[in-house]
Amino acid sequence: MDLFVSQLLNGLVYGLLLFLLASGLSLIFGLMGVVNLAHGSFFMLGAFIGLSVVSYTGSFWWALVLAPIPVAIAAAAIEILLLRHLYKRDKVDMVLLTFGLSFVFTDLVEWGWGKDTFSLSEPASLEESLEFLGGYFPQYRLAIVVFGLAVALLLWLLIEKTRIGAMVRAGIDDTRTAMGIGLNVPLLLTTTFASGAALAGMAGVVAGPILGVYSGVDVEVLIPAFIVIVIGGMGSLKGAFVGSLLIGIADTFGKAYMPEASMFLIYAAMIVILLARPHGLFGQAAS
Amino acid sequence: MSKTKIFAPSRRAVLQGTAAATALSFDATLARVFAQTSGPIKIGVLNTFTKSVGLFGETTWRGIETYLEEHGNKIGGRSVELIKEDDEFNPQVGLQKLRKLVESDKVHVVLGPLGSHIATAMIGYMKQSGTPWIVTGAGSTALTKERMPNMYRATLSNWQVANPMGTWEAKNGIKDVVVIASDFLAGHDVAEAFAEAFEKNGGKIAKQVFPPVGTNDFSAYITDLRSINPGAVYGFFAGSEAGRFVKQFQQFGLKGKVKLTGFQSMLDSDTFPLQGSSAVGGLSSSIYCETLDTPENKNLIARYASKSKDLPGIFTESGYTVMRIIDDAVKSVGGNIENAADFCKAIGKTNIVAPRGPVRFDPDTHQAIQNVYIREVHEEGGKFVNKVIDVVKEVGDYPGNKA
Amino acid sequence: MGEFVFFLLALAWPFLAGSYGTGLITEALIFAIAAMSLDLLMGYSGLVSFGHAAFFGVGAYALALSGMKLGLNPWLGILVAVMTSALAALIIGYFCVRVSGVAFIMLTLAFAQLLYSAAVKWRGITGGSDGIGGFDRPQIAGLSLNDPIYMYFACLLGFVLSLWLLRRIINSQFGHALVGLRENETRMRALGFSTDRLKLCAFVLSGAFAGFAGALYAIYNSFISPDALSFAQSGMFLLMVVLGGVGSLLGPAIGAAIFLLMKQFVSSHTEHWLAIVGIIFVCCVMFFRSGVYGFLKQWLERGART
Repeated sequence: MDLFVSQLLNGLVYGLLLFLLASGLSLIFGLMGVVNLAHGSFFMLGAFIGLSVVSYTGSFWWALVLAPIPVAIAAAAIEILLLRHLYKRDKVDMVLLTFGLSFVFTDLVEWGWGKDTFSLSEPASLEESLEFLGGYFPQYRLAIVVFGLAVALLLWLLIEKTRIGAMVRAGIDDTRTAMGIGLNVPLLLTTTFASGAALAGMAGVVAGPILGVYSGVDVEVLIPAFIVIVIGGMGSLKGAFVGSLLIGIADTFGKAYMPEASMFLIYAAMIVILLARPHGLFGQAAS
Repeated sequence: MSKTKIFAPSRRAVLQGTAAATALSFDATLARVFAQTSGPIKIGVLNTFTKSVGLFGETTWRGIETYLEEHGNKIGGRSVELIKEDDEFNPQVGLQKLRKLVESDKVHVVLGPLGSHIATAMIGYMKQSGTPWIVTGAGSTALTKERMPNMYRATLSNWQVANPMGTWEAKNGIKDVVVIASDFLAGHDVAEAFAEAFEKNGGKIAKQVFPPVGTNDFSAYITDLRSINPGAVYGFFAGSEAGRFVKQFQQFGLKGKVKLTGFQSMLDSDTFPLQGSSAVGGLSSSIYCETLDTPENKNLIARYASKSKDLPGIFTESGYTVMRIIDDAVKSVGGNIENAADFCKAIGKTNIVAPRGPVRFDPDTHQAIQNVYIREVHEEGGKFVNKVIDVVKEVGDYPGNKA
Repeated sequence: MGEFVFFLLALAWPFLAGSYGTGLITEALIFAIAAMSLDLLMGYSGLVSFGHAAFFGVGAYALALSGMKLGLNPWLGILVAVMTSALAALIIGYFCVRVSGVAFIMLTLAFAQLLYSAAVKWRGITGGSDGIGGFDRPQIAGLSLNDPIYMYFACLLGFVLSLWLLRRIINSQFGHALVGLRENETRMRALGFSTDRLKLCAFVLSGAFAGFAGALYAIYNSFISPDALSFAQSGMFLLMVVLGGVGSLLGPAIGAAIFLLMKQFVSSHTEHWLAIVGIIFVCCVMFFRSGVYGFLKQWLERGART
């Protein structure tokens, strides 16, 4: 039983890390209709900037706070300078654009930090492991669970209970109507894109001690995040949350008990959902 | 990637030098040899310098440089041009770079690669090209089964290192083992070779798992390991994966309960910076140990100190020793590395005492015959080192390769 | 006219370039076939596939396995490879053509990843992540493809044949219907076309050509590994098509050549060749939808007028 709980916790850790990435990806898709292939790059960029912040300040916490800022600025610049000019074109053009950008980011990161694999150390206060249920569990991983749930709750409150959230929801439902009722849609789009990127950058820092920091981590995390939003439904925060936990837990149990078939099954699930419920578990048919 | 010229005198200077040499000696054959062999010896270093195992390429490179610096940038009396190419740990890229080295740069000998999958991809091409090829790094057991006349492996074979460890663990009180190995050729090689010896000597393999290459988070596997609770875990990971596995093994509280043992790359001086104290007490087998107390190894350590604050690891030693092998072979063919067939035969006659110990080649399979050391990780004054606790002398190639 | 000069140059190339240059262009020709096959989908049918490597890889594995496990002659092996890829495209396409736009992107990506993980895990057949190596290049009429010059001409022949066939397809009624589909699907449906069936045909043809390229690639390298099925490989094909110019057939072929040559030569001088490719790619998406080919064509036409 305690092993079951431990594996569940492992799954939660991975799932909530995915959620930090997938929530932004999903909201951006909902609002702009763009599958952001550079979202993994924001994650990677955040991780590397976090690495530098840690080496200057010696503090993980500073990295967590500071790293998302430049990532958000880069994202805002991309939205204003490039993406905005493509909204009237085929959505596929935007996907291709972000795809091209992901190459530029990969190179930028290799230029700035090299091609080695780095390891971000967890904060000293969370280095130990807790003993419970007859085993040990690293404190840092428990902290991720708490942090991830807190972010999910905050995001939910933000979207459901605030004016900004109402605007985002209106924008997801119908951009043109939102413009009609006097919303500053361009600002809304820039803000959402940048915030999603900031969240991804923060995820990069949080995941650093577990997944490592290296060029190439962008694709490693992007594909699972895609699966999450396909399963949960693009444009839905609830979908991103449920999808992340499902994938996180399924992947963990798959690795432990069906190591030969686990990845295969997850892709198969993605295909079945795309075909049977193209809008995912919680997506809206309108998108 | 970048071309690094260690020592590349102008062509004219070399020609003048050879002219002087021929004028002095009246030996006609020597004159002929030198006439063919003007210009530097070109050595193509095809290795992985990026990705999670990029460190190994880098340390191999430093070993090569260490040898050249020690010998005035000359090999067999000739200057050396090293050409470095990164295969990105991808066989397709490796083949592209290999073609460039052989056809465009016209190297005299190819060193590398690190990845067994890249070595597998290279076989077809190298058989045709006939360019001398000394494998440094790739451990695929089946590679030497090819018995290519132009290929020698100066480093370990997976079987050679894993098999003795299986015997050793079974004979030293370990009853059941969970094998966890990276899901690629080398991982399966190592798992198979270890399990065969371990079971033959009365041990029991409780489970074998193969996490995909590039796994970062081992929590699911380690939790499963805890539920099985074997006497020991035998692991095969390399680079940052090894770093993370060993660290997470401690974080999840298994250290002290399950004995940590593994292949050379699991617990090596390359991975200690990532692992820290979590590695202490771990056992591994390897063809090299950085604390070997021999004059050859002390010399390497002293020379390497100018390049790195760390002790040399297996890849540095490999880079260093492979240059020694080339140096000796070039000398024994009178500098004429251009005659590939003679040069390859000369490599086969290698019989040296390297920093790792005695090295010679199996005449059939061209695998290096060498000692295998059982090592334990110790902490010494804030630094982590491996110490030899047992030696299996002069281990050869997998017997199945000779049939 | 320009193409004729091009063709003459292609015939003379191996005698001018030496074995390394010949090998390089051989590889470019193979990737050009794959890029053109993707262009049939992207440029003429408006379907952007992020999983095109699936068919390239299936073709390559089919060739390798038909030779190694069934002992088939490699020439027959190419045929088997083309048919296997077409079959894979038929099955995958059956599902994919039901959706469009971003969903199509995701679905093709998912199928390609599915095949990729199967190739990695199914060690007994595919050799796992290490792939299958060491099979010999075939012979024809006593001429062994081990000779880089014969290999080059075999690939040149394959390229010209593919180009000719693809042009015939595009200029046929079927091809016109595909373009109509890209421009306005509703209208085509109103005109009585079965749009799904049209798309599926394009998908299968595209997959077959990609499989042909994959088979040549396996022969060229005497090696195949799951990397040929990977997301990175799919992305590379996409890069080639957009770089060269979507919907011009010859454009993507040029895109393939540019990409490979950049990788070989630019990467020797600067580590940042990927950023250069990325930036050119972004510029193509933003400003030059007709790619390098369209740009050159415009430039030449303007030159001819003045």
